[in-house]
Amino acid sequence: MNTQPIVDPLGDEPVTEQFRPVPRPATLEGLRLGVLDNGKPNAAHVVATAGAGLRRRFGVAEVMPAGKAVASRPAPDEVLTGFRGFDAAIVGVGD
Amino acid sequence: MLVCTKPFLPLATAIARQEGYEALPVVTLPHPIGGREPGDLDEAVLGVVDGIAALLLADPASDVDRAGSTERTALHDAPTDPSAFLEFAGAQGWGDGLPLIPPTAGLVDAAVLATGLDPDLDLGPVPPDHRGATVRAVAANAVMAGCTPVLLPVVIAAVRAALQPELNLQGLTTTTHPVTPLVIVHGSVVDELGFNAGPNTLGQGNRANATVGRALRLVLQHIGGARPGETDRATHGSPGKYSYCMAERADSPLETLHTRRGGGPGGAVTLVGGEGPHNVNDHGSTDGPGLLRNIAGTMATLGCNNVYLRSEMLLVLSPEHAATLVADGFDRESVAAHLHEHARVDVRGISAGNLERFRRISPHLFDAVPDDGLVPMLDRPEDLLVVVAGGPGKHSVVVPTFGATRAVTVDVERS
Repeated sequence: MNTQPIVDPLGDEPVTEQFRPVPRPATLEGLRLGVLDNGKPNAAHVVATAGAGLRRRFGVAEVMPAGKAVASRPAPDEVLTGFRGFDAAIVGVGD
Repeated sequence: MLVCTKPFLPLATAIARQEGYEALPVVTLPHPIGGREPGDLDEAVLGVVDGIAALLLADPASDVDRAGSTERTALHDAPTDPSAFLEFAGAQGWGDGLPLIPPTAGLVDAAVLATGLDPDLDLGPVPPDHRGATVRAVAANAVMAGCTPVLLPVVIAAVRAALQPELNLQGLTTTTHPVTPLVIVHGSVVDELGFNAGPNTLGQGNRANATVGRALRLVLQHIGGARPGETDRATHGSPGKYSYCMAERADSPLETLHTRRGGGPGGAVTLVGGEGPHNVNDHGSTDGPGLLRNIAGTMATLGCNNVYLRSEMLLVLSPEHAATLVADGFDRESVAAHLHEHARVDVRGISAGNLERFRRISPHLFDAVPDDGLVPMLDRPEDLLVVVAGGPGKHSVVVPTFGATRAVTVDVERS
């Protein structure tokens, strides 16, 4: 089969700085858990239910709701800042 | 950690990678979450609580090591036979399903040369994969789409516009909504490069319109990694996702979009995150208010995002409809003001579930309105973009937008 060189159409690989996760807690007992309602229908219910289950079964001290109105826009700065006060967090993607 | 419905897992992974942590722990739930009674979800959610706890406590995984795999091959050895090339491209995950021109080094070099730019210049990261849109890669996609070299400055302008934050390309390319960036070409570049602003401007038959729109789509799909059914989560998509490009008539009797948007002497493009066009058939109205009544009714449609996410809508007036309005003393501002006033949806048509959601997302409108009230489609007259295009005939079109987006205009720079 005859071939010819062609230019790759995919562009440069991203130069994203690798995120460094903090060490995980040894237990969930007594922790503050942030749960993000991303604005999708029922998202608040899903993360609140998951948070309630974690409190009941694993002793999470407080489930702290956070939210943004529209899933297709980034969370406002004040919401992101609020996440700094949580020990762990759950966010969602879906529909 | 992330909770994700199963079909959205590829998108979740792409977003995590975007943030530099591809190994972000994910628990999946059955799809869908929306459109169901909240209590019906509890069993599934409580069923993954143990898994969530385990991932919250597990040592953070080392991120996916992409060292050594981040260098892309600059050149591929591809078959010269057209059918074999299509097979090859398909195997790479390239293409929109239509035939592609092989981006040979010679064709791409000519395309790069026509931009007057350094081939290694990176126009910016294209979401969701955030690969960099180098001029060389954009040119390769334009060649694949069938662009002639002279069209490259328009493609470059469209890519620059697509990457402006106001357009919200991340949202446009990953949503379930049937949206895609509409490229409106305006100013001197329309006639000079042979764009069609006349009959069938939104349709087939003109190489400039067809290939510039297609080039942008291939950039989003190849460089951005907006893969249908994976990271591009569109429920149905839109025919405009093959190509969505039109041009403004220079003989517009209303203030042109080019003037309104401050386009430069070499022409410009305006990108609008739009749905498909919705027809306004009006053969009967002989005066401005009558015609605007029909347009307002077409704009006031409950299923579109503008109802609750707001932002802009686009009105593409035919020359004959524009002439009717001008003959009755209307100009662009008064058209927009009239439609802001009269394009309203009846709240009684909105379901209780949607109304609760709309009140939460757009309280400035929905909190104060009574259950039998009317809600304007536009927050301000300035949120209506007006352009005159198309050929003879008594049809105009309305293009609702994604809502979480704003139009962006970028000048075409030709050396």
